[in-house]
Amino acid sequence: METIFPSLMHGFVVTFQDHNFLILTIGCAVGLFVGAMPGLGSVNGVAILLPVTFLMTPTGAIIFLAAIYYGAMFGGSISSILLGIPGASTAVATTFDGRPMAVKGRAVQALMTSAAASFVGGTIGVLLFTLLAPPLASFALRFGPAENFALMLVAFATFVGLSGDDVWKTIFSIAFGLLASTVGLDTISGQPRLIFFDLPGFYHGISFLVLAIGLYGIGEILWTIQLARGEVTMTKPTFDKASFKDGMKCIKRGFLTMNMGSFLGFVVGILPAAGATPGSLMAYGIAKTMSRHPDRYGRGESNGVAAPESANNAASTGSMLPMLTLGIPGSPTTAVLLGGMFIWGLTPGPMLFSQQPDFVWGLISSLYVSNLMAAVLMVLSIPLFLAILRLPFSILAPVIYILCITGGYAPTNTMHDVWLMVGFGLGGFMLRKLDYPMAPAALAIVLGPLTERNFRQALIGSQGDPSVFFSSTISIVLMACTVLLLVLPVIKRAISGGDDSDQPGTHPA
Amino acid sequence: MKRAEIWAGLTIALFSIYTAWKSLELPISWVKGRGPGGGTFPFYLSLIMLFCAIMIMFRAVRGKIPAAWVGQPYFDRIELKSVLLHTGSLIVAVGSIYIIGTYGAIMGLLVFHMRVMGRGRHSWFMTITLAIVIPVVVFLFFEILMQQVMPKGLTEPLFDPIFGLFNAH
Repeated sequence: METIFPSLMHGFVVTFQDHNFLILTIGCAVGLFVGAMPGLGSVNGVAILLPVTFLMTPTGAIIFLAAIYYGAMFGGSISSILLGIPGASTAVATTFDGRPMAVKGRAVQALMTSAAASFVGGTIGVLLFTLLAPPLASFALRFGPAENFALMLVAFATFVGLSGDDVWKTIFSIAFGLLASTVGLDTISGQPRLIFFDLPGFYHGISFLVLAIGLYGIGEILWTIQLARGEVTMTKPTFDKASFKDGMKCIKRGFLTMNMGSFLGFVVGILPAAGATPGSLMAYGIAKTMSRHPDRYGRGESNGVAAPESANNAASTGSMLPMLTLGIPGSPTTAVLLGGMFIWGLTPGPMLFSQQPDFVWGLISSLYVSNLMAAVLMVLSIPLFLAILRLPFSILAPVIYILCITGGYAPTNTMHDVWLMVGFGLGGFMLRKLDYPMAPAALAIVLGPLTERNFRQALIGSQGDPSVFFSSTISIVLMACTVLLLVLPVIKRAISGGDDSDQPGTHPA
Repeated sequence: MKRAEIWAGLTIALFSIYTAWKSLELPISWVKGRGPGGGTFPFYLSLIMLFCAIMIMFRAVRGKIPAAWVGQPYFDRIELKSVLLHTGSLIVAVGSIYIIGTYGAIMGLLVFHMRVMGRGRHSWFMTITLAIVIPVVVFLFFEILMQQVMPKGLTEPLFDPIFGLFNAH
């Protein structure tokens, strides 16, 4: 501890010297904008602007890219809340309650909760990063394929365990998302599978964003017009004293949820190949499971914004930990950052802390400053964002369609994905009318490749012996959590006297 | 609604059978030295989906649906009309990208929604202004700033001088 504090202070000096603070501010603003654009996330912003950093010092470069990363994490929630289209995969869970809040005229409260949760998540993430970097890096290495598989099962079980949803429809939704993730090339044998009608577009698999934009972008518009029977009246939210006070209440009420999301997000974030998206979806599931009013989730519950937003920011910080200490990227964005470090002539690993203190502590302290800067920029921009919600529906709807088309095309550059997205939008809308939950499918398509790979690798390693999934304390604890969550609906049904009917037509997305 | 629930269950069941059959293209049992075959995961997921579909249909047939659904249609005429207009305009816009490109399709989509769906709420001046400004902003952001090439269909040659202008700078 006695070495951390002076090192951190030195880092702050580095962050504020030369042009580093200006670079950080520009990075946050660029990240906020890129994160808010559907189809483009932090990975796009960091990858595209990586060449620009070759003109900077390595410390300035990492500060710039980390600021973009942070800004994008904050910005991802903006289009999720205002338009119902996730700005990035990490902000999908924010759509579940953020958009219903905006529809009810509470966009200011949703944006404020999102900014505060992101700030709390980022701060807790950086604090944990500062204090626990080396031991946590070695803890993450104790997660082998069996433990990772057990962790994925916990994530799915949280959705099954939620009260209110029809269990069979929830399980179908999870199975469909997992099945969609298996389309394309089998990662172990390299053979093509589920190439429907021999369409070449299926060879590159089904992108998570295609499913998410279809369900939450197009599906949301269709849902809105059928609810309004064609005559959509737009809410006219204003950033006034009353909405600010209500926003502060939401933040206060969500403080515990934000802390839970932050710790969970950080732990998931440090696991190699997990990242912020699974972290945010798990945090949402757990927040709903633990809530006294789970039925409010999906219908505009501010804690449904607080949980994923705190988790994705904490996870984005956590995912930098294995990158710096072990040279293993925790997310696609950190993979690009890692590439940048090699180009700047730096070798990640434990020695980096002693050999490049300016770089490491400059980065850590810039994370504190970026976190604050992004939160301030986001809150200051709320009046600008609200202007979007004041647009008449006859302008807003085509603008959302345009963002969906460009967002669906951008990840793979194929029209096949745009058609697929339209199909998911329409199919998802039809099923949503019958109360099929959409969130489990979004979670499953993200976790699908990880789940299958870890399941198969664990079995290969044990020569087909399934007891491998119960061979360590970590996996036993996780499996026990899974079983507990799966029997939760049965217990709840028994307590409520067997009535498991749900309210129709208002089902959460 | 009850009939829609059964039809949805039946569609899911048929889709599950198709994906289970499709999964059999790869081995679904243990492959020596490689572990579970590539078809194992999708095959068993398809069976889970099929089981869920059967349970959903079974519950619907037994009348286990929310009380407010009883006697309600899946869509009424007004809902169906607005959903069809929106879906139709989107499908036509995506289809027209192959011919008039992304930017032409965006213009068409905006004009249709502002003039037809907006029922005369927006003047022609406003409609044309937005139909030009929005595609230009999309072009500048995606193609110039983010270097993300969008499909342009037959309008591809029209963009050569524009790219030439930006490349020159």
